[in-house]
Amino acid sequence: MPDDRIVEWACGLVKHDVHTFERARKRFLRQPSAKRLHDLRTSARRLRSLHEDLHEAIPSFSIKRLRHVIDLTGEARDAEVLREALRDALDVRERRAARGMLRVLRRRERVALRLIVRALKHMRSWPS
Amino acid sequence: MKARRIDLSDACGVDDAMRRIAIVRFAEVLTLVPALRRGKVRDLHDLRIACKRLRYSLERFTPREPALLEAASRLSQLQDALGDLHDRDLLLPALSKDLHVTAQRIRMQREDALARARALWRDAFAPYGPFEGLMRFTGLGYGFGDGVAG
Repeated sequence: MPDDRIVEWACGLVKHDVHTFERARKRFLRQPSAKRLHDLRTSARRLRSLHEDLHEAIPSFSIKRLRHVIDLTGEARDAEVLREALRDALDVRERRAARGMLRVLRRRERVALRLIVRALKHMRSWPS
Repeated sequence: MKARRIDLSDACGVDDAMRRIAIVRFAEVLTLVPALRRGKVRDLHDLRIACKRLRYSLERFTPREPALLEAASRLSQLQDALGDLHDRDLLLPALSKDLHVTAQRIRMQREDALARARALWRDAFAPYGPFEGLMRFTGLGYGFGDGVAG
């Protein structure tokens, strides 16, 4: 077990990151959007990174549920970013050919967003 | 790539713990950086994740160690370039054959993003450059700017 000063410092960091995650979770649930999804995903990843760096010094929390949130938000984020990248690079002559793929990506994003909302609604506050 | 475990059991205080974490996370990045030269999809993805881990750690340390701020900011730029590249790597294999002009554009964007990442990496090691504080803090990275990402 690391010394008390490290534990105290690490607990302060956890408190801060958990608060940021909880705020992002609530904001996203109130009104889901791409920006709020990004904030939620980033706060979850920061919390996971904190766990990776300082797991010896912090109270244990459910990393499994955190991973689940990161995976779900990753699916929605990928679909959104790929759609944007495709639209950005799309040649005007190939617009018609790209319609199907853009539609599939939009659907993937919507499904992922629904799953995130459902998962977050059933999630208790962190850490548990 | 999984994050390496960090032993803090005999660390002496917060500064020592921060240094140990920064050394491990920076070493992970330095190990993976040949990906910038090789340009392989999987290796570049691993490098991006390692940059992100190091950046998050450094951002946590900057209130106590402001000299790490520039490195964290450079890692964020590097991560953006590698992220653009990664998005193109995901998109290219998913495109239908009818989209060959678009695919060509995406390949060019990928090359631009790779060139940007290489330049950001090389420049980070310049004297008094963005990684100066990180190198001094960890004692790692000396001699890494030359030719690695070329």
